[in-house]
Parts: sequence; C-alpha cells; structure tokens
Amino acid sequence: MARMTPATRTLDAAGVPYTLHEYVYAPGDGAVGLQAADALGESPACVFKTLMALADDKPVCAIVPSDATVAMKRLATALGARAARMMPPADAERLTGYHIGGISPFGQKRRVPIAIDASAMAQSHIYLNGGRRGLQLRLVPADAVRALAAIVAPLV
Amino acid sequence: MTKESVRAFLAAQAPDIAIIDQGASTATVAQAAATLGVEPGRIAKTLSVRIGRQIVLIVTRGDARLCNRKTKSALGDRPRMVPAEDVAKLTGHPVGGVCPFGLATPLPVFCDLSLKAFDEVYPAAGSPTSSVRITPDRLAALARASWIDVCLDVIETR
Repeated sequence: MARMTPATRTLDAAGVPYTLHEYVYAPGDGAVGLQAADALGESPACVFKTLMALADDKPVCAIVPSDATVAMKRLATALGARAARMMPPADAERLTGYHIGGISPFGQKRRVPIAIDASAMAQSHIYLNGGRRGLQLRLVPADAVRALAAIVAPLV
Repeated sequence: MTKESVRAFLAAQAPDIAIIDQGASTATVAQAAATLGVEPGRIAKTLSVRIGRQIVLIVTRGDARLCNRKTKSALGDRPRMVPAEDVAKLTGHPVGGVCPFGLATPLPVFCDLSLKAFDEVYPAAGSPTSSVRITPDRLAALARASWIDVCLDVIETR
C-alpha cells in the first residue's frame, strides 16, 4: 500500500480509528501545518503541527495548533524539565526516521516523551501529520492522547 | 457555580438537552438510580484517574468496575484514582457531580464500551443533584471522547 507509513502502521496496530487526507505539499513553504489546514479547508486550530525539541537536552515531541507558536517554557514544564529548545532539523529527521514536512508523532523510530496542547481536547477531531509530506491523519483527540501516551498541557 | 459551566456548555453545544434536577441526591450511583427511577447501570459515572503523569476522565456504566489489566492495555498504564480535592480542582465539578462537560481544565475523556448496552444513560451535570439523559454516542461526541474497553464484564444479577 502506497499510503502506508510507520504512523499508519502504528495506529492500525493499536486499533485507533483514523482517516487519511492527502493534499499537494508545496516544498520550501515553511509552515507545514498551516499549508495543510489551508489545503484541507480546515481551521488551523484543528490542524496540529508536530515539533521535535530538546527538553533539558533530551529529545521530546510537542504537538501544537498549526497557527500557534510553542512556548518552550511551557513545554519544559509539561515534561518535567527546566528548559526546552527546538531540535536542529537534521537531528529531528535522524531521530524520527521522517523527513521534515512529514514528521508524524506516531511511529517515530525512537519513542520520546510527547506533549500535546490542551486546546486539542476541545476539538471534535484533529489532524496530525501522517508520516509523509502531503499526508494528514484525522482522529479524535483522546485517541491521539491514548495512542501517544501524551501529556496534555497548555503549550502555547 | 459548576452546574452553570455544564449549563453553558450544553446551551452552546446541545441546546436540546435539559438538565434534570429533582432536588434529591444523584451523587452516588445507587442514589442516582433511586432518584431517577432507573437501573444503576444506566447511571454514567465519570471517574477521574491518573495514567502515568496524565489525568484522564473515564465514563462507565454505573455498575461497572475498572479493570486494571484492560486499562493498562488500552491507556498504557494502571489507573490510579485522583484524590477528591484534586478532582474538584481539575474538573471544576464537586465529587458526586463530575461529568465530562464544562470542565475547568481540558482533559482527555474516554467512554467505556459498557455504556453502549443502553439506549440512554444518565451522567451527572456538575452538581450532586443534577443529571442529563443522553444517548451513549451523543455523550461521547459532546465530550470529544474516545471509546475504549476498560471495565470488568458486568454480571447481570436479574
């Protein structure tokens, strides 16, 4: 199956319901989540971006609305660390096994602590990267929390 | 104060659902079943539990019990009950009136499949004397909940 990614395989294995949504990815356009929201005709508040960061120098993952900026202090607090900063893109690719623009929180090569912005809990569905550029997953926020064992906290 | 948050939530999301308040206690499953005149299973109880570091709400039928093993398999860790004073702070609802609507902090909500045995169930509505009547699917949709299987099988006694 061309649509299979480590992310979809992880969700299938966990029995988590989701739907796949493809759009035409424009390379070099920066804001992946915003572009996805626009292409899918969805509000940026329900299309989330997946960011790789370092909390006290340990790799972590942050999931925030595509139109928001992650507050590093809040991310650190949520994961019980003192400080957090963005991870260099090359490290993010190596650590997750995904390409920039196609980093999904699901099915990453190595399991890292994950925090998701609390605003997700108010959405009936959220979109998360499907593990490939131009591929988004739509699922119930509580299902994402369950499948990721994510911490729910204000991150923006 | 807190029934108001549920009232405001329902008014915005489901204006057709009315809060039932008969003045008598619906704080425990047994009291709620007696007050509402329905079988205990139909009372949808909302449990506040800690899974690892994350607090979640699990809504189950009134006569069901959480199974540690099933919870661990569904959510990744054993469930630990949250102290009553923390429940009030996190949900904004007093113990006996906790429901997955109008929460003080956004929490992930899970509905146990056992609720689907009924056409309609009765979760609380933010106070120890109030409840709402709702279909299990509507309850899950309004609470943005995900369906899981985490309760011991209920043995019917009649």
